[in-house]
Amino acid sequence: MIHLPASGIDMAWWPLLLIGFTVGVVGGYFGIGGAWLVTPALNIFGFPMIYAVGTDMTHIVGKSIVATFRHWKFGHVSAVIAFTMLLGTFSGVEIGAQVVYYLTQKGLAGTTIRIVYMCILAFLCFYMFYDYLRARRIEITTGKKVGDVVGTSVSRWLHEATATLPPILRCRNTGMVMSFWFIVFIALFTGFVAGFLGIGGGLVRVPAMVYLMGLPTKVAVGTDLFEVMFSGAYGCFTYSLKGGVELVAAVIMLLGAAVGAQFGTICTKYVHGIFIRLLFSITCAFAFVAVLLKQLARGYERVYEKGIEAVLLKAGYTKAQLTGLMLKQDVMQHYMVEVAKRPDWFEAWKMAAAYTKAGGVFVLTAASLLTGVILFQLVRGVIQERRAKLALEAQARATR
Amino acid sequence: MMEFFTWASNLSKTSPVAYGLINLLVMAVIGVALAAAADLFFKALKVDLGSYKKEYEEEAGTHH
Repeated sequence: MIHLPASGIDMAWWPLLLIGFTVGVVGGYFGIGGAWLVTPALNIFGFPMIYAVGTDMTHIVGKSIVATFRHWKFGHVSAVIAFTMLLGTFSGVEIGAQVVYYLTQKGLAGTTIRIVYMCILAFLCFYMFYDYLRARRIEITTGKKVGDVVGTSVSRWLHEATATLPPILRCRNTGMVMSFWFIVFIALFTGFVAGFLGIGGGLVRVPAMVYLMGLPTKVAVGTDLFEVMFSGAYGCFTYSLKGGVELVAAVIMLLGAAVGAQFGTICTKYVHGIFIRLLFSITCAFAFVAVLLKQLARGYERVYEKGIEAVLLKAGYTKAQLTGLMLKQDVMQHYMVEVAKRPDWFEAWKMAAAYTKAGGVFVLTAASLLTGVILFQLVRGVIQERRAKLALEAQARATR
Repeated sequence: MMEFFTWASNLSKTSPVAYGLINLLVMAVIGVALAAAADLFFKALKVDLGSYKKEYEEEAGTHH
């Protein structure tokens, strides 16, 4: 057990290490931060939720350094694109956050954001799966292996439309040249979506780099992790200002994530970009279900939220205590059924808790499955590489 | 070690900016240290994890 000084609670250390490892594998492989995985998973293990997002953001800083370093060595990172994208990303995030602020004032934020998020995830899931099937069809008709499909008609059109806009930048990894403004435009768009949805943005940025910018999948993954390093740092700092970070938990998660990120990142060497897209589409499907379960839980939370808040404040609790109290079944039963005489609130609370728990269990299962597939690919790749090396050595000995 | 975390946690109430900077610094230092340690580990095992020929380089970019 470890003591979490900010929240004052004690919890086991191994779930943090395990979640860190899993999100490290997945993040290193797909080039994403993995916040959609971490928050519900932490919830399952009783981690105080008001610290979940900030702690996740904090560990992402260290994890993305580890993963970016490995991708950099593989030649998957385009520093020119990553640095240029930062300009657009931060501006886009701020614009997205302003739109959310406007929607919050109108009382439309939560549901609208989740529905938009689900639509984007569903689109990405189907499109990337279709893209994978199309590549397989090309393989069958041409008889030639398709490792990655670089560029789309949209990306080519965007490149041509902005080709004369100086300054023109050169991406050394891929040999591609593109306008500075084109990169900023894509980053502004993805930053806006990330800011609007309140996510790190990797789930949107990687597909945007692949399909709109026309980057090879592995370069999109590596470059996005570079970007995540900075967006994570921004998130870590802002959440720290609000006191929403458990540093000791972030450090334990990072220890797990650093190992996991090595596995996830190294695996990208042994798989083709098109296979990463297939797994990415499955990841989007998992994220879709996680957001859907959250939305269902939210529907029930609305039934009792304002009422029970008023009851608890009247009972002498402070606003800061409410989040923790609302997680305790015995407290909720007492105040909803016995004090407020609203058994319907308690029924709604039980349903919300059930959906939240289901979301956590689902996310953990999904993350374990993805990790299993990635580790299997890694082991298979290493064995194949070793065999090929031994065969080459045997051949060299035979010809001598 | 726990004393440091308790001190840092108290800092969040007295000086949030310093707390934010310390969190960033701790993550950056541990991240760089672990990345370097992993690199040394793989070098010691003689595992080559340098740049390699990617599929898009071999195919010179397949467009559709």
